[in-house]
Amino acid sequence: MRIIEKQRMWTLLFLFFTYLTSCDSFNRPLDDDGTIVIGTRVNTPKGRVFYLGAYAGIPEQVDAQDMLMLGSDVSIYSYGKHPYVWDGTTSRLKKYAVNNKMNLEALDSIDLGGIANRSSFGSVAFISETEAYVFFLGEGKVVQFDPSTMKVSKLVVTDVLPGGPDPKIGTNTYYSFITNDTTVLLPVGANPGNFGRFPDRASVAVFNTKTKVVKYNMDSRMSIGYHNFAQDVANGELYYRPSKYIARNRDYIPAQHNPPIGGILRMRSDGTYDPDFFIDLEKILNAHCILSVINVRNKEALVQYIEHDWNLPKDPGEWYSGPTQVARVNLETLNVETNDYLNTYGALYPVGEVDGKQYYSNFGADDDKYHFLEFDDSGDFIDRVTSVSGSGIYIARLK
Amino acid sequence: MEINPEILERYNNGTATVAENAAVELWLENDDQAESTLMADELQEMRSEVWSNIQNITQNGNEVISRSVPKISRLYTKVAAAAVLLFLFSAGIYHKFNSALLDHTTSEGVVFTSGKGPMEVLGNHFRIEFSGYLQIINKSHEPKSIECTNGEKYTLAPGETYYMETIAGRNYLIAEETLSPEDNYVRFVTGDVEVFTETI
Repeated sequence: MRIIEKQRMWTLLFLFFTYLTSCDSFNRPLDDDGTIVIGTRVNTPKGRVFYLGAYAGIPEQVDAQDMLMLGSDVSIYSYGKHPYVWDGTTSRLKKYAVNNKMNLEALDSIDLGGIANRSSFGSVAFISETEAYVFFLGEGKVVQFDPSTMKVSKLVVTDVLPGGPDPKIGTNTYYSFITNDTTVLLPVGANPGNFGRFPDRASVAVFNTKTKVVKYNMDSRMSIGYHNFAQDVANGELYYRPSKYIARNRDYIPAQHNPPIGGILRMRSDGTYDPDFFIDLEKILNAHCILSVINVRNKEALVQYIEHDWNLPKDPGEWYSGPTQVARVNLETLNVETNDYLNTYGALYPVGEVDGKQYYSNFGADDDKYHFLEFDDSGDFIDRVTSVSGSGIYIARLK
Repeated sequence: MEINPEILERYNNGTATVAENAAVELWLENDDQAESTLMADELQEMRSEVWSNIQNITQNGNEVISRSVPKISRLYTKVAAAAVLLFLFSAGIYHKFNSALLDHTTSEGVVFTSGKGPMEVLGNHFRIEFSGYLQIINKSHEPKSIECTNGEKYTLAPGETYYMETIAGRNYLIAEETLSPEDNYVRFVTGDVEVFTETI
């Protein structure tokens, strides 16, 4: 009898564990800190293609072969547990989910083609699980939608971005920053392909989510800059930074009289500029021009620039291939310290944040390899992920 | 021709007539917002479906856009342009393509993307007339050449992506490999392009 009971017990235990191992929830990582999503861009003979992959933790290596192909003109976002992808070819904002096998599945989408022109798409800002906005400021439209239902809630008609519809100026907004419960800031840049007169004032679009009004705040201390802020990784302060496009424009159409183009301004959370802060980085570094403020940490900016004695190429198509340098500039003491990051990685650019750490990717390294680099607390770049088939575009943890 | 779901279905299935194909492509080309907002939900959804199919075709590389859709209103311009080209290029005959999505069972062409959308054209030598900022992809395994209306000539390496711009009346070609991936340059594409390809 006892033997029969033992056999029954073992059978029951066997069935129980069989059930557990076949159960989806059992297959989930026990240490569920949230899925990592990584986006890359691969240059193929058929043109460049964007990919997105999902991982249980930060992987050592990613390969487009194991990722979801997104298309040729996309922007990647995430909020909560879902990645979102704007597909510029179809004018659709798509919502994805990651299943327990770490595969991405399209859940739903919003077709915005009938509401706004895809060419004026600017950025997506998520306020909450039920409130988010897609900006088409080039035609003065902001589309409010509910991410939980993927339905359009409201079409807000606003003032058109100054210079946006004019191809000779081509102002644009491609990134958004939520600074408080009601404010979304969108730094304004200008199109590099139209060598007309560039705006001679810094510009930031400020959207109030309560009043649904967009204001364009200008500052005449510097010319128009880049369409993405640099954020101080230590304290979150936002900086309006200079644009390589404008530097290139000035090099080939130098007749325009304008305020400095290589400066940096500090933003306040309400979208106004800190009146006591402006630094002309070009002057401080005695540079030909500033290409990028890669990041800011503890009021110290990592700046990529071209040296003063550079021989300007006659062909503007070769401008981007010019030799560059990197230096740290202390934004309080103005102390300058040269750096050799470019020797290892080539140019660096921000691609996202994981667990409070900023991540950067690279291109133009001597070994032609692509990496996702964590910017650690000591101010060093730590190589965390190698992308074997294309450059890094996006990284985030879904939570 | 009025576009209805039945025509779109035939277009997606590849069973539409030539006239229906042309009408759908003109409809796809039309970005007019007023028309779009008045569009019935069903039509709008199908329009997205057609775009999606076209995108899939382009991405998979199985078929490639290549159907020319000359607009009737441009007929005079087309004839005039052809006459001028025949005069300028006595050594060869060029065929003009408008900014339209093309269908076709061929590949290995050059894709010109302007503010009006992508267009793949076959051939080895192209003459282009454009405004704004253009993306050019040589999807073939061979070098191709392009010539701008001001006589400037460029070679496109196999499998490479470029951007073309105009500065002070001159055209310049930028290889995408020199540009930061941070900036999705296809977002900057504007304007329009007309392509004339040498057929003989």
